[in-house]
Amino acid sequence: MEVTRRFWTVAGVGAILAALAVVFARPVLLYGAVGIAALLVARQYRFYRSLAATDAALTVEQSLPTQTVARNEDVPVTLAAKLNVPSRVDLTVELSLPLVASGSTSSDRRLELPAGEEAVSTTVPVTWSIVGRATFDPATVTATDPDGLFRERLSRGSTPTITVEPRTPRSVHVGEGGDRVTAAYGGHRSDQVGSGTDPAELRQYAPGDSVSDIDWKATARLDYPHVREYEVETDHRTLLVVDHRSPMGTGPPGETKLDYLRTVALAVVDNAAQVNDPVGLATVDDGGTTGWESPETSPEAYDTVRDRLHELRVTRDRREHPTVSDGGASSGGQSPAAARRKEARLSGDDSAYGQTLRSFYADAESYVQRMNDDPLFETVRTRSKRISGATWTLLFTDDTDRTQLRETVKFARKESAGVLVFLAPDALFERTSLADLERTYDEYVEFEEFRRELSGLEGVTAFEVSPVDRIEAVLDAGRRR
Amino acid sequence: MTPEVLSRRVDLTMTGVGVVAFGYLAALVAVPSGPDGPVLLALVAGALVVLAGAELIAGAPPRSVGLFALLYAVLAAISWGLLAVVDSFATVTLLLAGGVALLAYGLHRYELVALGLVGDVDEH
Repeated sequence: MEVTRRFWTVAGVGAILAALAVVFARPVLLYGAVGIAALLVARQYRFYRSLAATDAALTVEQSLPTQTVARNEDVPVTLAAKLNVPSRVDLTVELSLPLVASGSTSSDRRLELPAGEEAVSTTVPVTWSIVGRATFDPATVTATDPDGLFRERLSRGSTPTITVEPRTPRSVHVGEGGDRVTAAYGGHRSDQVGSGTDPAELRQYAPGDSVSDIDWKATARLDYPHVREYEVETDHRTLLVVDHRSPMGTGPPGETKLDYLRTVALAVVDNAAQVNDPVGLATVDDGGTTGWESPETSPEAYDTVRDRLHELRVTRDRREHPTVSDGGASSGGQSPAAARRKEARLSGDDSAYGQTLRSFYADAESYVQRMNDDPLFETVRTRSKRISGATWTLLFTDDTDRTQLRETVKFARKESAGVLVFLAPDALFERTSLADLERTYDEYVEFEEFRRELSGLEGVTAFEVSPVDRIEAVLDAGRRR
Repeated sequence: MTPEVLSRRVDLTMTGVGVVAFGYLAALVAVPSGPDGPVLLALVAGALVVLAGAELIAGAPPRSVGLFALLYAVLAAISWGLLAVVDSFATVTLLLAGGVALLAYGLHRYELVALGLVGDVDEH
């Protein structure tokens, strides 16, 4: 219990009377001082009784709408105080924020509950700037007697805990045409039988079969020697090619294209680690290949790949980089083969029209040179040569340069057992507010045509990777048309 | 003027304390040798009425006012008894002040324990 200045004023009057009583040796003044002392002690007891009754009737709650929040995100925190019976003391209840929180002034976080009132609440926005786990202290309840002589501070109320997470993709959509796929990668069926662990079929014993392969129980049951065959399991040797060029930085901090693709790539690595598949990694920026880990199966190799993926940052344009080059599948970009075919067709055409066009198609070789200059293409080309045996190539990139991506995928298909392309559609990342949903939907439709074109290539499957809420909003806008 | 309005407009505690203090000083001036016997009793009773009245007007519960009246009566009786048996006036004053301070501090400690405000004792 604290005493206030007002208390000391009253006590001072009593002390002066007592002092004068001693100085003048007059007991009458002592009776006055005793009266004032009795008043203060009686008031103190009354304050204690009122405070005890208030404390028993008081419920203070500090509540949060969520237990997890992204860094620098605002969360409304509600402070509510309720009394079962009206109090005889004035109460001030102050929200106790953890040190890592900020965003509202001290007066905003304070509630006044004067004597006689029963409930009050307030909600304040709070920002969390440091990643980690934070626990609220109990709210500070300050009780003051109505006459302002005594004051007491109590710590009361719930102490919620909140986890502040770094801004990362929280809900990742991987799918085709807006439909989510649950298992894009990871199957291991080889369609061959031999030694293994998964039973495939039971067949009659044939000359040449090993006696150790005979299934004796089946033989006893079927009255003829039978051999149990098992499905041959294969390893998926996998090469992840992750693009971290400047366009991959599109999107809000922590939720860029690269962040979403990184999440998918990490899931692939985890899946491969579970089934002991070799995984390698090549990373690409505007300057070329920035990192290389050849496919291996050791736990250290998986950790290295994971670390590399976590460390990956979007690099600035280290050289002149084309902007969105062809604006879609139907635009002017074309393959070297198509250019050569058209050039051959125009070779006998001596008209001014033919001569003009021929000069463009004669550019096929320089086109090939240009492809070789494309960092993604060049990385796939050089890294594929370094890996022996059938390898699955997984490309993680976006659709800003569709012509070069198309050629890269075609090349990867030739060099690999299969190609999976995980594409972050530019349309779903470049406008975070989604204000113009119809325009975004049109761009998404263009992207979908391109994705289907890639998926139409033999041995290639292309998926879109985006935030779930964003693709759902865009598809809803399309359905409402 | 109703008691509620009066308590809002006038600082009843300070007024009551002031009236009592000046009343005692005035009595000392009026009777330089100091009032005694029935006059002193009337003075103490008057102070009790003023302070208790101020409490009641301020909205204090009757039990609280009763406690104050009892406490005042007890302290006044103790003062009278001490003055009768102890020769030194300063000693009586110190004894009374110490007793009141001890009572207030005991109440303070009791409140801390009752409301769970006592921290863990460091045994090291």
